Amino acid sequence: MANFDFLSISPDLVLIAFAVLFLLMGSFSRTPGVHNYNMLSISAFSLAILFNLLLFGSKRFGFYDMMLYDELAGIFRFIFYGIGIIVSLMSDPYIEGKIKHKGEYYALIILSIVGMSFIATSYDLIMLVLGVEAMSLSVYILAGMFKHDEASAEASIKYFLLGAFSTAIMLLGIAFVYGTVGTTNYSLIVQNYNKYLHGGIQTGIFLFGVAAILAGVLFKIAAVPFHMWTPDVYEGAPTSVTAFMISGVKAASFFMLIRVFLIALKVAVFNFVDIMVFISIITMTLGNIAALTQRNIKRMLAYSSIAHAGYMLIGFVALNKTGLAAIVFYLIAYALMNLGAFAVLVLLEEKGKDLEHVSGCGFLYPFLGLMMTIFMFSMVGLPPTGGFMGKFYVFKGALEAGYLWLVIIAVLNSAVSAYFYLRVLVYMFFEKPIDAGGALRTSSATVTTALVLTSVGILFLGIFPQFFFEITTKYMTYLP
Amino acid sequence: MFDFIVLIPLFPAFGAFLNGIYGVFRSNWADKPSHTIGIASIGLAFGLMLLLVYKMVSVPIVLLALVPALGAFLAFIFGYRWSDKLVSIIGVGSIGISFILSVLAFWKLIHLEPEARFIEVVFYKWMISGDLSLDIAFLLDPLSAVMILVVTGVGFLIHVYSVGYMHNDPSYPRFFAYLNLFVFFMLILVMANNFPMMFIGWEGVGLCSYLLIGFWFEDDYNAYAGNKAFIVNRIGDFGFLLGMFLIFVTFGSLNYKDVFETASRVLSYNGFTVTAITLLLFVGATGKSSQIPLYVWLPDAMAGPTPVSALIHAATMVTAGVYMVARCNALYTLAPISMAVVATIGALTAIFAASMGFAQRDIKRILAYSTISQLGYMFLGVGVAAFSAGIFHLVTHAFFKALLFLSAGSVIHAMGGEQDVMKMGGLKGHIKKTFIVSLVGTLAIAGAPGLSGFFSKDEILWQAYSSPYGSVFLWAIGVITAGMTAFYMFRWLFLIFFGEERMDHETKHHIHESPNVMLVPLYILAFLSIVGGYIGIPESLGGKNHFHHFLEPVTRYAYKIEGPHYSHALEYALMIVSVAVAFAGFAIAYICYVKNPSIPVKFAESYRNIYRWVYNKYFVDELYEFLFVKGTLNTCFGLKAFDEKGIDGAVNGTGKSLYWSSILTSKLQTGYIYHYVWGIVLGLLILLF
Amino acid sequence: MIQEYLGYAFSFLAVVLAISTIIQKNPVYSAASLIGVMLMLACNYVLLNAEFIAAIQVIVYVGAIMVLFVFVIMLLNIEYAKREKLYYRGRIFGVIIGVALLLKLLIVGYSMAIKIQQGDLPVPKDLDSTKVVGKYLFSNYILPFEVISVVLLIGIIGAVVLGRKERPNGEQKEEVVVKTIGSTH
Repeated sequence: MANFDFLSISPDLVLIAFAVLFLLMGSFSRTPGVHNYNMLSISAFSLAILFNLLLFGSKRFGFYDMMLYDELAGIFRFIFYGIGIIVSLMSDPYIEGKIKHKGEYYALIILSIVGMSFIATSYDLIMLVLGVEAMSLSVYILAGMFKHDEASAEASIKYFLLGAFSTAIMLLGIAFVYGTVGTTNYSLIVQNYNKYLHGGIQTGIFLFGVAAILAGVLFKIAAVPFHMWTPDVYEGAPTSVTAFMISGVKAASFFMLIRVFLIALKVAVFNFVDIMVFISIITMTLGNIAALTQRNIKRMLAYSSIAHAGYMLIGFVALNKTGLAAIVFYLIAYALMNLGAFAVLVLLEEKGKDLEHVSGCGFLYPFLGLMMTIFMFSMVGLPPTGGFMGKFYVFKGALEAGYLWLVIIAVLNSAVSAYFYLRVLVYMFFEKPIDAGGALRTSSATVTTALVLTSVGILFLGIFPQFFFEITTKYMTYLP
Repeated sequence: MFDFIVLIPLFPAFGAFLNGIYGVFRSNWADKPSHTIGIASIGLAFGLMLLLVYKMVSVPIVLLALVPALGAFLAFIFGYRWSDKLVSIIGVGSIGISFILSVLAFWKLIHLEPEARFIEVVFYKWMISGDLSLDIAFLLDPLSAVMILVVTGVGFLIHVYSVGYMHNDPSYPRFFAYLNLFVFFMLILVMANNFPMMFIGWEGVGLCSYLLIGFWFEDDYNAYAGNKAFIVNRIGDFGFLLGMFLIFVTFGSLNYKDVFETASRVLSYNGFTVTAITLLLFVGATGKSSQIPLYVWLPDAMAGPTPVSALIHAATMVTAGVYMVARCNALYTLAPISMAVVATIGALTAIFAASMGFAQRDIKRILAYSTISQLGYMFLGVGVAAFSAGIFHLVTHAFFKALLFLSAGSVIHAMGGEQDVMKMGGLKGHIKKTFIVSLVGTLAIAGAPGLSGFFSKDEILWQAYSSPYGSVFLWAIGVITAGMTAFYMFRWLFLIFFGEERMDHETKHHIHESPNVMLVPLYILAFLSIVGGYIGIPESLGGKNHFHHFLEPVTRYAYKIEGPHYSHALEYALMIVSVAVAFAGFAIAYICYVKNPSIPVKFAESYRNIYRWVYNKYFVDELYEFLFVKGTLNTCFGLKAFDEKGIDGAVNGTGKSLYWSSILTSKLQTGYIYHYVWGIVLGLLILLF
Repeated sequence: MIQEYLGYAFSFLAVVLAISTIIQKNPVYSAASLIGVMLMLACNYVLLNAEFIAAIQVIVYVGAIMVLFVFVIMLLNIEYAKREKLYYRGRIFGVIIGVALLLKLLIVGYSMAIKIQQGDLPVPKDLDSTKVVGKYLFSNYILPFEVISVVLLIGIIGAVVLGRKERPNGEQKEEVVVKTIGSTH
């Protein structure tokens, strides 16, 4: 089937073209300061969204069944491009003066999102790996963009080495799967499994492969015990890049989990449910407990992202329509609140990175305080925010699947988490301001736009959750 | 025709919103006219959101919600600057409108047939997934009608009072924003028609209480008190949440109507599930309503401004637990064990807290213990299935306790911030008006015949004796508590208003009566404290007990047990006993603190140990501190050793283990890449097995 | 039959050399051992009738990457790596999970009777492996082939961005140049 369906990858083609444009601008421009890189980047993503909108609603295979564009992939493309826009909005004032290669910075963000987009549309394990590599490689480089910051370099090298290791494990798993079923195509894997293996003597090897792939995916998700890189990398990387990793990479990884394990490897997924329950519990518990004593806000949010991954895995454990659709919903809320919180941090970072440094900022910069309140409430899971609804739907999915005790543990966990999230607000509002650090540039129009977008999004998700949840439920067609 | 009731909570929300925005941005917008534009546009946006949110409700009503936004626009056009005056108008006005709407709702409700008095108004569908449909919907039935009248009515008076009391406070708008927000959440709590919405209100009032206790957070103690309240409440809330989950798992629904209608069919009488549900919910109630063992936060909560103590920690929020038990009567009556627990805890709290009130010196702390004790009474009432009696006492208590707190506020105002009753005395002549209203309040709470407290308290006591769930012991505890109440309340009154003047000259010179804006609410509350009881005169005294009959539809799904019938003669006898005991309490207080003030001193000296125990509140705080705090590396309840910030220490009761495991998990993070690789391999191994 | 024994022999050597790569103290020896590993793998590919892959393996890994490694090592002039000290903390734990993983792999391998499935893609009999690879690379695998270019592009950007020496006052210097040019006019 030589179906060269260029339309289905048109958003990616547009983005790649823009990335090349950025690179050329970086090399040919004598005065890099004068260009509005972020505006160009936003227009790139807007164009990509437009193309995706044209495609949305259709289901199309392409390129010898290497890719499948369906509605859920379309939704995820929207999520990725949206994240791209918000990250571009918050990047510019932050990297100004700190990164010389601004063109390359935006080019890498765009290419990383292209990688995510290929993950979303992959219909072959090879495409999946390439998407993961494109996404991860860019992020490895982005994490090290602050070349005069040791922590940034450390984050980059750590992430790179561990990421390469996990990719190696994943490739090993793919080799095993290929060895047993003789194909890497998603639908053929299922077919051949039923034809050749079907519980036969070689199923063990197939399962080994699946486990190795799962390990690779869980590494990207930052589930315990694959999480060890998370705090160091998220803390060390430039804040705007951390925001990108914590939202974009996490969303792509979860979609990878859903797509691979519910399309290609759905024959094996029930073998891993029990282990996933265990991993989900330790992930959220460890994330929350470790976050309790963190004084660096970025590190605290890194642990919190681990905990959130644990909550989302509950939806995967449930393996029913509600639970899986809830993951998508949760991801949207999660991406919005993290992007928002990091956008606040981008502005506050000149004061310092610890809790003490944000003391009193709530009243000094009321807008930032208000925004942070919304984001932290959403992280705790208080209504009427998207975080609450996300948790609610995930828990509901688990209850429908009969995991009452799992939900109880999760609720306990989120009760614990209230402490460290609200502590940020306590410092912002109830502590006397300290004099360290200069005046802040709190009036950056682009960051303000990002904050408004994310906060409105979170409140919208919390107050009118039905709208999104219906969409995600409708298109959650991947069921085991 | 009842659609307008959704506006009742929305107006306070609106007020909170406007004042909150102003409070936050005030310093940035100092005297710039542009800020009015900001406010006006925000107001307009809010109004438009309302419009979008419920298209279903008739448009004119939504336009009504737009009025404040329009007002802000007009204010801008006419060059009116945002000021504290406007803050008061918005803050008080929004509650006032809510009150008017509540009265209207009540009026319309009593014109319906008793069976039809159950109105659900769906605001909008919040979420539908599968068989679970959760609406933002409001319920108007006799119980919630009573509650919204109390909340908005007493709330309105306290708002008016606050205008005078908080005058010249630097954070004036913030105060009104919080207070309005509190009323909003409280209305959500009492008007919800399902458990999750009630929970939202439940959490919301807790949050506002926390914010208001720590209102003057510049003082570390206040922030500490706020934290204590917040943390203790979280423990209770967790029980509530688990109870809610259990309800959902059992019934598959969280709507009151579905749950209560099917309760007797789904659950078996005295079954395990229903007992678990009700006990878990009651754990939530003990936290919110400050019952044993979670009562410790309320006395510290007095750190907040006095109107806050009156509104939140006397009249409304702390009664949420009673309301919740009464609302869930269909569940509670199915679980006799839970009923016994509720009644026993109520009775024990009543007597325990009353005894702690004996030796306190802080004018507001005495009232705080009195509140705990009276809440115990209410739980005693609902615990013996006398739901209407419990709610009746809730209402009258809201009147006289708000009155007492506001009077105390007036006294503090007069004394220039002094709160120690030992440094007062003889104020009768200086602030006569305050004295008279305080006297009314004290008489009402002591149960003087004819005043509101008498009727409600007596009904509870009678029910504690005669109800099938009651017993003579509960009654006896109640009666003894009544005597103690009379004693410590008159002690309070006498120490403040009678005897020699113990304040220093400087203070004495400045004693002044409060302004009218504070006194008028006091008069109204005093009036209500006197006549409030006449809505529920028991039949034995020739009344009709309108209140009881009005609330009867609420208990229609309750499991009914026939109890023995007693004669009116016995009721009279018990009534006389309780009045006599209360009078005895009064008499002892009179002898000790007016006639012969040396008696208490002698008592304290000769029984020093007992006095010390009572004065230190039986060392319960210290005990808790020892159990949860000392043993927990001082991480709990804000001992400042762990971190000078106070908040940092407050992880929770199990702080130590969490703290150490947190340190441990952080230690796992060695920073060596090969350790991380081991983590990955370990994970792979876990997946493989 | 002889092919099978040869395969085992090459595999065994590959494992031995891989272990040698890890435990050698001189980085040059390590690199040399790694070259050996690559060569052994290439030999195995030849045995599997995949001459093209074998050739590519030798050219790319041995010819390019490993030579680059050796150059880097020589240029940096790294003496004996101080491995003992670095690998000391909690070594036992690492050994335990390593052995556990190895055992698990052996158990899976021996209990499940590895039998490689014939791939789904048909291999025409009349073409040699180079032609087959070429044919599929430009038909079935055209999209991955193109996407790889994106990945490589990212790699190049990374090398340039991270590798370029950045003088803290680099921009200032440029300005000076501009000024001098301006002054001549």
